[in-house]
Amino acid sequence: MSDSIVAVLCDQQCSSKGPLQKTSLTKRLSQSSTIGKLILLDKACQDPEKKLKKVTGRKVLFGGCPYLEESGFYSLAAESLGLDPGEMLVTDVKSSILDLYDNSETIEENLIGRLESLGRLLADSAPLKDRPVKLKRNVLIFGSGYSGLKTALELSGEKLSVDLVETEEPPLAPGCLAAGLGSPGLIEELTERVRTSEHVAVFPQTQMGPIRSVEKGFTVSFGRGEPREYGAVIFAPERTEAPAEQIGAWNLTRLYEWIGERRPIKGRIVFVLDRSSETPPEVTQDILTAAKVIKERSHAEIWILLKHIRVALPGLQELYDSTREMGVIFVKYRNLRLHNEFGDFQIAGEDPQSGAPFRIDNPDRVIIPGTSGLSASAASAAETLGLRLPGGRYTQPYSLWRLANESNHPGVLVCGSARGNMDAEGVAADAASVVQTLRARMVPEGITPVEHIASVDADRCVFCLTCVRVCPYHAMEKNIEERVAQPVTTACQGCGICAAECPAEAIDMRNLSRESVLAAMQAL
Amino acid sequence: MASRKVCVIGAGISGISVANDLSRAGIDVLLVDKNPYPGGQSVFYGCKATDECVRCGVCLVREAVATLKNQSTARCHFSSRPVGYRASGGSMELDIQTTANPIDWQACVECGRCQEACPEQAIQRVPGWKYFVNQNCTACGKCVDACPVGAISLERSTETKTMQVDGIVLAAGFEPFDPGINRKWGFGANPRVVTGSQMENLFFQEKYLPREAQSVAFVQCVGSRSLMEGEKHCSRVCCAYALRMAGRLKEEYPDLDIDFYYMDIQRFGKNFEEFWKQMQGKINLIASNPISIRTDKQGLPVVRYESLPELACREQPYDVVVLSNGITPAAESESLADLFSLDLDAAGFIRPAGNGSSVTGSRVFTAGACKRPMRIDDCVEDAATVTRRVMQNLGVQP
Repeated sequence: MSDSIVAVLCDQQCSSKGPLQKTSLTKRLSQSSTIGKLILLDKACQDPEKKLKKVTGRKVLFGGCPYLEESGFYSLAAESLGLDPGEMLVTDVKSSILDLYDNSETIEENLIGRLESLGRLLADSAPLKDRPVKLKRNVLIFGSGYSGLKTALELSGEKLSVDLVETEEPPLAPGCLAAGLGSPGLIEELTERVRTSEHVAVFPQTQMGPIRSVEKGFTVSFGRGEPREYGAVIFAPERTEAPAEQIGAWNLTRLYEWIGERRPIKGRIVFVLDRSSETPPEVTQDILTAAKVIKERSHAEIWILLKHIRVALPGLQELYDSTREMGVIFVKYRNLRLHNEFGDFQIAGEDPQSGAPFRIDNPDRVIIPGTSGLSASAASAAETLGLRLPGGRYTQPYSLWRLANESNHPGVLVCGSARGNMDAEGVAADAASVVQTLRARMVPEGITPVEHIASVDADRCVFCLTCVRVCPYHAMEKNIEERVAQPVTTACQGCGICAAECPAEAIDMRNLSRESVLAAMQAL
Repeated sequence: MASRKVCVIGAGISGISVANDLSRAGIDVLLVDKNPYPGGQSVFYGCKATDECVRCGVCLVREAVATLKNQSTARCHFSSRPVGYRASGGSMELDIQTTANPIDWQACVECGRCQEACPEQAIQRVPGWKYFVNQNCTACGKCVDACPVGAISLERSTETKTMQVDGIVLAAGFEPFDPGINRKWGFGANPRVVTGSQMENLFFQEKYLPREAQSVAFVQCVGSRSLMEGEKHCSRVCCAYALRMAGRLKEEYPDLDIDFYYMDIQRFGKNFEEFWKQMQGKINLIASNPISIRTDKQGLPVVRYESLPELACREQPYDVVVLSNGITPAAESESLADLFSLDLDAAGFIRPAGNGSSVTGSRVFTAGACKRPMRIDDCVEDAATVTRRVMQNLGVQP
C-alpha cells in the first residue's frame, strides 16, 4: 500500500531552499505508512511531466501557496496530473511560518498529518472516481406524526435513505389534523405515500436502544438487532395532551375521538379555555375548528368560556368571526367555579367587566384542553438522544445563534411541535426548513463534529454561574456539591462565549489552537 | 446545467436570507430593493439586550447584511422596483426600473468622508453595509468633492432593464402602522408621543429617552385588533418588542416609571411566559382600553384609559408615550400582487397558496412578512423554507 501513494509537492515555499526543508520532509515521510514518496515540482524542475511519468501509483497533489491557489494554479496542475479535487491539499504554509509561536517542526508535523489523512482516504483500492461517495446519507426520523411524515417525504425527495421510527400505534397526535377534522384523510394519505416510498423504511412500534455518537454520525440499536449507522437524527415526535384537570371533563383528544365516531351529537357542549394556563392560539384554532365541525353536523349548543381570545394566527380572526356567526356563544369569565356532582356539572362565574354572575346548568359535555407536551416515550427518546429539556415541555433551547431546527446536540435536529406550539402550516414549513438545515450541515461523511469544547478549571472557578447564564446552548451546568460549573460535552458547540465572559478566566476552549483556527480559516 | 437565475424582490431580512441561501447553493441571484441599501425596516432597529440577550433578533439582520456584503454572490440592484412581468411557457421576463444611486455602493470604500462633508446630515451609514443618501439631500455637491474614489454622482437617471429569470421570490415586507391617520392617538400633534418603530430607531442610535423623562407609557395594540381603524389582525410582534424595550429602558434608567397599557397579551415563543413574569415586577402592567391621548397645558401627553378591572375612566400624564404600532402590509404589496396576479387576504397581505410558502402553479414564491406579520427569527426560518421550495422547483439537487 505504501508505495501506491505519491505526494507531489507543488510550491516554491517547500523547495530545497525554502523554509520547509525538502530533505527533512522526505525523511519524515519515509516513516509514514500511507505516503510513499515525495516529488517536488518547483521552478527548479525542468520537465515536470517526465518526472511524474517515472512514478507509478496514485498521486496526491500538495500545494502550499494561497496566491497560487487563488490564481487557479493548483486546479490546473491537478487536471494535468489527472487528479480529482479530492486528491489535492492546499495549505497556507507561509502564514503558518510567519506565526512566531510555531517552529518549522510543528508545521511539518501538521502538514504530514494532513497528507497522511488524505493518503489514508485515498488508500482504498478503487480509484476515487469509481468509488461510491462515502456519505452517511441515511437519516433517522423519530416520530410518525404529521411532522415526521412530512420530513420523511421531503427527505425522500432528496434521495436520502430514511428510517422512520414509530413509537405509538396509532399516532397519538391530538389536534384537528390527526382527527381528520381540518383536512380529512390527510394523515392517511401521507402515511400511505411514506410507506410506498422506496427511500423510506418504517419501523413500527420500535423501542429505540442507546444512541452513540461515532465519528461524523450516530449508531442506534433497535431491540436485539445490529446497531445501525446514521448521518443525522431528526426528532419529530407527536404532541400528546394531558388529561383534563377536572374529573368528568374531556380533553381535546377524547373530543376528537368522539367526533370521529360520527355518533349523533346533541345537547349543550361547554369548552373552558384559559383554565389553569393560557390557551395558545394554535389550540384555540383547533377548538374553533372542532366547534365549527360540530355545529355543521348537528344542532348542539356550544359555549366557549375564556379569559381572552388569542387570535394571533393567520386566518384565525376570520375563523373566530365565522364560528360566532354560526351561533357559537363566547363568554369571557373571571372567578370561574366548576362543580361536578355525580356527573352533573355546575358552572358559575362572573363577567370580568361588570361583575355580573352567570351560570350554565347541566351541560352535557365539558371540554377542558389539557396541557400539551411530549409523551413519556418521546421524552425518554429525547433523553436517549441527549437532548435537554429546558422548559420540561419542549425539547430545544430557544436560541437565535443557530439555524432554527438545530438542537443542543450536534447532528440531532428537532422538527415540528416538539419545538413549541405549531399549526399545520407551520409544521409543513418546518419540515422543509429541517431538510434545508440538514443540507447546509451535511458534508461528505455526515455531520461535522465540534472539535473544540469548553473545559472548566475547577480550581479557578468561583461558581458565579456567569457561564450558565450566557451559554446559548444550555451546555453549562452547575455542580452544586463541588461548587463548580461544568460543561455538557454533547451540547457544547464550541462558540467560546462562556470563555470570553468568565470573570475568573477559568474556562478554556479545549483543542482550540492556532493551527485549528488556521485550518478553519483554510476551510472557508 | 445552465445556471439558474432567481430574482428576489425586497432586501429585508427575509429577502437577504433567501438570497444568501440560494447563492450558497450556486444559484444566480438578483436582489432588488426600493431602498438604496439592504436590510429593510429592521436594519435600523437597536439591540434590546439588558444584562442578557432578550432574543429580539436584530443581530440576525446585521449578520445577514454582513454575509450579503462579504460572502454572497448575489447581485444587488438598489433603488429599483419591478415594473413589468411576462410569463410565457417556460420563460419569465421581468422589467426592473432602477434610479441611479448618488453613491455607487460597489465603488464606495467606506471612508466616511462624505458623511463628514455633508452639511445636511443626509448621508447615513447602514450597519454592516456602506453609506447611502437620504431625503435631506439638497444636492449641494460637497460630498462629490470629498469622495476620494469618485463614487458619488448627483445625476439621477432612471433606466429600465429586462431580464430573464427562472424564479421570483417576493419578500416585500411590511410597513409599520401610521397612527397619524387617527387623531385620537395624538401622534404628530405632540412630539412626546412616538411610535414603537421610532423608538427602535432611537435605540439604534443609543439615545433612548430625553434626560429629564420620569415616566413612560407604552400603549399596546395601536393599529391592530381594532375594527375602528380597519386593522383587525394581530401583529404578533408588538407585545414582545414593547416589553423588551421597556426592559431595556428600565436597565438604562432604573428610576423610570413605566406603565404598560395592554388589552390582552398575545403570547408567542417558548420563553415569552417567563419573560412576562419577569417583567411583572419591573413595570406596571395595566389591563385597559386606551381611549385617547391628549396634550395638557405643560405640553405633556395625557393617556385617557378605561381601566378594565374597575371599569373607571382615568387619566394620567407622562413624559413620553410610546405607541406600539402594528404591522400593516407594505404599500407595494397591492401593486406587486397585481403585477404577479396574486391574491390579497382580508388584511391586505399577499396570500400564499399551496403549502403556505409558495404560490403553486407558477414560479413566484412569497417569503417573510409580506404574507403575515412575522418576527425576525420567524422570517429567517421562513426564508429557509422558501429556499427549499425554490430549489425543488428549479430541480437543483444537492
